[in-house]
Amino acid sequence: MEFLGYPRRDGLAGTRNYVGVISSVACSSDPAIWIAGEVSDCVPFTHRQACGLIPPDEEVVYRTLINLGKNPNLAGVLVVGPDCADSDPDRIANGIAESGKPVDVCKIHQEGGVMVAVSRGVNIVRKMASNASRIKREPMSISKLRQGVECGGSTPISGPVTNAAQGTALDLVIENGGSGGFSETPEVIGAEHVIAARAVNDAVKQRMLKVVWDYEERLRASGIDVLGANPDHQNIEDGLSSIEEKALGAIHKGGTKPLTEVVGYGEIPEGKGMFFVDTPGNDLQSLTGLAAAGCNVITYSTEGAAPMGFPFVPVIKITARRDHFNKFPDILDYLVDIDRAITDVRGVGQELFNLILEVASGRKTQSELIGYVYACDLWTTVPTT
Amino acid sequence: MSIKAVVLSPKDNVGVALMDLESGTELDLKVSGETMSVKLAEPITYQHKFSVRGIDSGSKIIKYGEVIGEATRAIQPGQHVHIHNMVGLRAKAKK
Repeated sequence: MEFLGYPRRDGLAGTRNYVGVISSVACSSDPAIWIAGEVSDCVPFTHRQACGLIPPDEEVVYRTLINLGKNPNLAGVLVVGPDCADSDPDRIANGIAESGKPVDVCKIHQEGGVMVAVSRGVNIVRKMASNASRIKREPMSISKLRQGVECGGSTPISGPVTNAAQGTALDLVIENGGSGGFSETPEVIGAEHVIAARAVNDAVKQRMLKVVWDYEERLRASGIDVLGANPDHQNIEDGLSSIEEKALGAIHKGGTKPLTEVVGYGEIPEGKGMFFVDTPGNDLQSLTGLAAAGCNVITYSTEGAAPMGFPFVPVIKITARRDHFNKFPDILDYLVDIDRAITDVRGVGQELFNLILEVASGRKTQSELIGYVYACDLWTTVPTT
Repeated sequence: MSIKAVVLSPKDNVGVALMDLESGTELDLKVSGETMSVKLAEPITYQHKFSVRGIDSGSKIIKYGEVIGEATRAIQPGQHVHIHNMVGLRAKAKK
């Protein structure tokens, strides 16, 4: 079984063929957006972080921006940043260049002003996009597919229906030689023992437990009562009675395969199979974590009709809410029939898997069609200076 | 939709309503080849849980084949199971 993807020099496959314009730090977002807006097939990645960073966030933010740039859906990357002691766009560009793709830097402080820099940036990405447009899709093994799995707006139905559907699709990706994983560490609190029990060895098991316990500890240190916040009022009204019940539903999206690897935010899992990425439950920050992990397609179950996608990774949004699916046709991509998911989850997962292959091969998602893909964020854990 | 309710694992002692169900509704719930029969003792709202057998106070509440909490009072078959008669073990440990 195959999909049609774009070959990359490092052996990976893109499901998209964009030139990325990555803003190194919050204050260079505007010129990054302007540059990308001037050229076809060019997308910005902007955020509100990377200024005044102190360890450990400095390392995490830089590796995240580097590994976003390495994502195979980008044919080339321009890093846009200020000429300022607080930001090092060259460090990001040099890291991305390890992937073998064309990378350049545009500093916004240039003789003549910002618009001179923007003009120079436009010319760089115009040439990159021209070269990228010569790359053709070709049949690719599923081993080059990496599925990120996300959920937002949990109800008691998410677990056995939409999360089970995307977990089954993930199982199929892995059975066909691909890889994939899920994230959102705080959503796992209460079911970490269940996911950890699927680890391939004790080191992976201990790492899984540690990322969850560390997250819980950070919440506690911030004065947040995680048990008070989960299940929340809406969850309780919907019928979720405990944090354990909520988390057990959430981990259905990770399918049933062994857990091969647990990585930190912004890190790329090396192996094949099912992995876990340590991210917050904030979906914008979590999607960024999945993209930095090298996911070239993402599925996202949302009973709350979360509107956004991601700039350069297609996000397939699925729901069990027929009313939402009919009301919000430009947000949601796939409706899971509840009865069918209960009686034939394998069949539903197979259908979703087929949609994943179609999207990986070029079919556009709703968020791509309307360009609702630029709300992005990065995760940082400590106060800035 | 035509399936009224589901039990997700043969180990479970609760089922989940897949539509709003009236008190007195009789359900035959199939899970892994077994059939669990229960008559609802009260109305159950869509997505909410009900017991499929009697659960003693202090006994574990099982859904997905895993413990989601314990009963804070005795629960009769067909009764609504939620925060008024169960508590998560994490939440209980904190108290």
